[in-house]
Amino acid sequence: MLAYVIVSLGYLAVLMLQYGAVSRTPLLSGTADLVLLYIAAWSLHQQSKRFWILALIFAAIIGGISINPFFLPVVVYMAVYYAGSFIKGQVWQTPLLAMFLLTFTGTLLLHIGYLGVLFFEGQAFDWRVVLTQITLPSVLLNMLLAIPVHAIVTELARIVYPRGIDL
Amino acid sequence: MQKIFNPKNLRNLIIALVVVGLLFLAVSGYLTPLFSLGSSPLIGTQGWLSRQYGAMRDYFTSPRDMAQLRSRNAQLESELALLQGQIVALQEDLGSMRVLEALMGFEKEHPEYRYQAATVIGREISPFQQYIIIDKGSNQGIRHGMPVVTEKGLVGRIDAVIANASRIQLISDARSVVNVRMQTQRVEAQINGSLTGEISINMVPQNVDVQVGEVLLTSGLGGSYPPNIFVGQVLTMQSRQNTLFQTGSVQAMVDLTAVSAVLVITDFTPVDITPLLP
Repeated sequence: MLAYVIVSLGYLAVLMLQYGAVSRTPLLSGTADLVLLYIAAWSLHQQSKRFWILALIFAAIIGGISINPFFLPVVVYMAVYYAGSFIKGQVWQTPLLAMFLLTFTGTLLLHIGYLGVLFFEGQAFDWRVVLTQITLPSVLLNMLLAIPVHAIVTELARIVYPRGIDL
Repeated sequence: MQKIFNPKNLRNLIIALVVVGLLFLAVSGYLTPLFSLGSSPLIGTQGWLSRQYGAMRDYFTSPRDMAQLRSRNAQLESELALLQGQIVALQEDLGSMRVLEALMGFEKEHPEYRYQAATVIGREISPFQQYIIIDKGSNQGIRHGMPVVTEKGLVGRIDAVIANASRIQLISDARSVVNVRMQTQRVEAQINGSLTGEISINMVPQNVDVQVGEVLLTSGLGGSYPPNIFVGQVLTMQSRQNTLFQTGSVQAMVDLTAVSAVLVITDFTPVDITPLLP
């Protein structure tokens, strides 16, 4: 129970940081996605069987706030969560590498989703501009922030799972 | 059958049903009062966080060089003196114009709007969309479609509203289209946003000689925005022989990446012309 409370409080802090500061600090036109990093990091550290419920709620909150269709963040964040849970069982000796892998693929997946929505809405865009001005800077920011987010979540995981208790 | 309905699966099924049910209720709007109750302290905290961020940004980005500040101050003072001279000349022109207007029987329009001030507390998570979130909502009289300005010019319009917060679509968003007219040329055109937040001007006839620095104001066409609000200035223009219209880039009057407070025009009702479109 303590795990759920701490993770949820952490999520609220991440959500407010994302909307209040991180989204307003772009690199070219790209911005970091702390929520993606937070879910990815917890997917690599969680030891609870029903953690997916929290991940789903976190994703649904973003789906509700965002201008994008509700399903898009839900699908991508849950995909990242399940990918993280899968990787955790495969390459658990290198969690930071797994975090980078999740961050990179998650960011690309999310951007493909955003662009897909815009494409179906009939918005014209230049792939080169999108790649150089938005996606690559976003990937870079996410990769840079992945290290501190992973470190913080690792410390939090030590607090909430002191002996690796399976909830 | 017993395997399917063993206690473990049943428990997971019930949890899944509860989660899906809650999501359905949330999407259907039945949980809106609950969300409103829960969102108020969050919005307050978000506003505090946003103000701290703004203060930190100002601290790190403000100029430190005193000599540079003094020289800039002197330059601004000389510009002020020049502008004061221009004001006197313009006031004289205004006096004669009023006489002419009275003679022609026209009344000068002075639309007076009511404003609701709001603080920007967040920005859309997707870098592809240019939206901001403010700390005023339907409880403060904000409604969908209301225009949003600052003292410098147009910012955008209200896109979505909840009890104590609203989302604004900026004029730099890719979906945004604003009908404008040029201040000196009296030619009408359109400005569009983009995925990267850059603004372009379109639909400018080829025979119009648009000067760089031309000021753009809202034309009021389409009924989405009131007329005569400053929008931006023309940065560059491109004219190709095989196209019907000229295009160009626009610098918005308002710095849309750093806007921290806005005014919502609450007594302007946008006209929905969608049913009239062919």
